[in-house]
This record gives sequence, C-alpha cells and structure tokens, in this order.
Amino acid sequence: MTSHVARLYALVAGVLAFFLAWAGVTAHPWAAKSTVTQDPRLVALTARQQRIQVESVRAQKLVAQRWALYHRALANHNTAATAAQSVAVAAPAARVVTLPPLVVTRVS
Amino acid sequence: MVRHSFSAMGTTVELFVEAEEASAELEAAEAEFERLEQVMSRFRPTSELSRLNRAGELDASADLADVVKCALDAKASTRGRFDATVHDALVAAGYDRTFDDVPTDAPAACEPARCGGGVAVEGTRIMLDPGTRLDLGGIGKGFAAERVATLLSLAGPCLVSAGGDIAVRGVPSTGTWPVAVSDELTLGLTRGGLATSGAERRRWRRNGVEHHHLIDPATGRPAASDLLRVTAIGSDAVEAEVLATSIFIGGLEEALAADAPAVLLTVDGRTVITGGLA
Repeated sequence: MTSHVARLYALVAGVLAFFLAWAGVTAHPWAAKSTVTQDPRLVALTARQQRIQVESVRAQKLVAQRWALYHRALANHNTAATAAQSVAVAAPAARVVTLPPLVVTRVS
Repeated sequence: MVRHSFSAMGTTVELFVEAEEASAELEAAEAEFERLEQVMSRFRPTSELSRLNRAGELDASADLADVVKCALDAKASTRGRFDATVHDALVAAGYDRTFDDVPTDAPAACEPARCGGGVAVEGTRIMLDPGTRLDLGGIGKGFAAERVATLLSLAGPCLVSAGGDIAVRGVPSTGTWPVAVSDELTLGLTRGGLATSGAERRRWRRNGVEHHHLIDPATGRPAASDLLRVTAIGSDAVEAEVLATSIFIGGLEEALAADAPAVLLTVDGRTVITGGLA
C-alpha cells in the first residue's frame, strides 16, 4: 500500500517535472534574446525610426515658425493695404488745377 | 484722346475716351443715351415715364425702377430738398414742354402745384399716389452719364458729360480730367462725378416774373436762393446732381455749414469753394 502511494506521488512529480521542463523549452528564452540583440536589420530599423521621429518633430517646429512668420507678414501687408486704401479714399476726388479744360460743366 | 458729341436729353452730350480707337463703344454709348431717354423723358408721350405718369402705376423696366429708386434715396438723403414729384409744379410754372419750345414770356403761370406725393417701388412695379407725377430731369442725365461711362470704359479711361453732368471712369495719362467750372476756375476730377445746378439758364418769364427750373418742393415754386449756380462733386454723377440741386435750394448759409465739396456762385457774384476743393 505504502509503496503504491509512493509510486503515485513519484509519478505525479515526474509528470509535473516533465511539463515544467516542456514549458521551459517551449518558452525558448535564449533564442529570443539572441535574435533581438543580434539581428542588425532590426537594430538599423529601430535606429532609423527614432531618427525619423526626431526629424519629424524638428520639421513640425520649423513649419510652425515659418507659418507664424507668414501670418505676421500677411497681417503687416493687410494693414499697409488698408492704410493705402484709406488714404486714396480720403484724397479729394477733385481739386483746383491750372490745366486747360477738356470740357465745361454748366447748368444742364 | 477720342472725342464724340451728339444731342440727347435736350442737351449736348460729349464723350471722351483715351484710346486709339473706340468707334464701337461710342456707337453703343450714343444708342444707350437714346434708349434711356425713351425710358425717362417726360416730354415723349410714349416713354415709360409718361406712361407711368398717366396710369399712376406701371410694371416698369429695370432701368426706370432703378432711377426711381435713386430718386427716392435722394429725397431721403436730402430731407426732401431733392424730390422727383415736382412734375406738376414745373408744369404749373410754365415748363410744360421741351425747353426749346417754352415761350420766354407769356401770361401768368398757374398756381404752384403740390409736391411730395407718395411713390413706391416693389421690384420693378412703380406705384404713384393719385395726382402724383414724376419728373426725372434732375437725376436722369447723371444716371445716363453713369450708365454710358460704364459702357465706354471698356475702351479705356473715359469722361461722359451730359450737358455738364459728368461721370468719369479711370484716370487719363495727364493724371486728371480738367473740367471748367467757370472762365477762371478749372477742377481736376479723378473719380466719381460732377454736376452743376443753377438758375442762370433754363429761365423764362410769366406775367413779367422770372421763373427757373429748380423747384423747391416745400413751396412748389422755383426756389428763391441766394445762390446762382452750384457745382458739386459726388461719388458718382447722380450723387453730384442731387447734391448740387439740394445745395442750391438750401442756400449759401446751409452750404457753408455742410461744407460739401462744391463751388458756389452767389447771386452777388462771389465764388465760394467748399469741401476742401481749393
């Protein structure tokens, strides 16, 4: 009886040890680690991605700066145009001149 | 500079265009004057205006509706000094036919007629109060000058003068359009319009009393003004005509207070320049 129980425990322990070993082998930790650290294409891609992200941020800042400059220039231009138009409108449509007349106005 | 003149609307029309060739535009301009005279003349029994005055209401052309709207605006902006409902007052004073046919002297004129009857424009339908008739002589030449200037400007910078009511488009190479206001005074016009109103022409006598064609709507009689002639500048020829007439009727004191751009000739022979023209 005692030897049966001992055998049963030994069998269960053996099966458990087998599955643990199986899981360990299936996880394949040594293979993944070596791939990440060793594949030069992935390393290059990762480095390139980071470089592009940095360049993208830099380009966005540059665009924002130039857009702000353009808006300031446009606002200045519009202000100058409005001022010029106001001057033109304020200028009298007629003034006394010394030119020989082209036509005469009279009571019609 | 191409120049062309012809008779229309009871006066001489002069067209000036700074262009090498503008015969097509000049021809179109002359035709447009004739067409607008057939719309606005009170002396042509078949004109649209005569039909409106007879019937009291009319489904009019867009042109007649436009010019009547201009007249209503002018009445509002001058607080009634300019009023197109002076037709019967003009007739009563003796100006009942084209001016060339008005007798220079004749028996007494009729009693002054009422002015200021109601006028309504809905779309192109014009309705007059009973007994109200319109005279567009005070605004029609300026209206026509503006229309024709727009046509003529296709050929180049131009000036249209309808008996002295002037519209310009663009500026000539000399920099301005020189317009003689009197023997001593010339104004250079660069945009807008210029017009002259006064009592020194279009005068006649009834029973020994001098009459002229500028009716004061408040009295229904020829205006008794201390001004003899007013030349006014406006944003266009219509505005200039309205301004000149209303300044004339209002008199010198009111003109000095308003200080609108104008040249005033008083009955005692003084020339006064207002509105910063000098």
